[in-house]
Amino acid sequence: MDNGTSNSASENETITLKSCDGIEFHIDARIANRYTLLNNWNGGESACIPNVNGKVLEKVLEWCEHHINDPQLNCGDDDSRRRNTIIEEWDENFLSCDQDMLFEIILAANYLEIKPLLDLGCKTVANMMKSKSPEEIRSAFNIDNDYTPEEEEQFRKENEWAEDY
Amino acid sequence: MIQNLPNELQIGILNYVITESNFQYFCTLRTVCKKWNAFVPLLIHNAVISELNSGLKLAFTYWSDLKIKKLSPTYNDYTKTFTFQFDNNRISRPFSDNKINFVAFIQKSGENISHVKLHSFTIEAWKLYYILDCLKFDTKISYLKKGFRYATWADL
Repeated sequence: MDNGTSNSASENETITLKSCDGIEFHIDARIANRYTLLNNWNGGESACIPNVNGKVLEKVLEWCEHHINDPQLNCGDDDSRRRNTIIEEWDENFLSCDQDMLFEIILAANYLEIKPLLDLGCKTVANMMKSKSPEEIRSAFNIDNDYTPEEEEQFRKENEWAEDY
Repeated sequence: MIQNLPNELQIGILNYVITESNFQYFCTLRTVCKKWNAFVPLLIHNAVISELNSGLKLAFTYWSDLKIKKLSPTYNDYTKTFTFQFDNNRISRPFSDNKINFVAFIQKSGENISHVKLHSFTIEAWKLYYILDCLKFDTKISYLKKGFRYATWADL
């Protein structure tokens, strides 16, 4: 059974990745082997990852390093993994950063196709919304209310039937 | 800022929110901003498909027929409706009116937990979502609008 560690890179092998702002990271080659796009950028001295700056890439790589021995999920596991918003303590602490950084991590994970980290980021934001009113959500995420008072009243009426639910 | 994320990521986040929220809270999310309201049909579609693919299995049977036909719904994005396929040859007697009565029931770990009587093969996505959500959270199904009628076993 593939437990996620059976790849060709040895424990001592490292590769170099460079962020878009020129910061180099020497990482365990097994990390790059797990995530195709990281491996694609292992192209030697001039290779750098566009769109991801050093600060964000450092966080992404820190997460990858911590989870290096996690079992790799099959496609079929995807739905069940998506069906809960439970987050492990280490991951929760890891993503206890400011919102800008959280969204940068989500964007980087999406860009680099690191699915488990992307899901984790989305779950974290989803948990931040739980049980909040529309006003609280707008305030927490700096979202403009672009409805007119008339439109809001219309929504209130439309939603009335669900209030007894 | 969340609104700077690409739409597919915002939808991904909202999918998680509705996974653990009830229908009422889902209605709340619609009112945050116009963009999120525009995501509603896709979110409902995702939620329904996810429920149908999970441990909750939706099956339909003609009310007087014990045979159960498992159904795979198709989704019409234009009308925002799910249509369930049914083998008409299995219907053993004529209907009293032009409508077709079916019983939909939900099985959870082999146990019937609730059911509704439907009058149509095609159901608006939000209604199906609402029913599945009631069943998921073990909430009484009520206030079903045109196109459905809630029934208890005693009515059948």
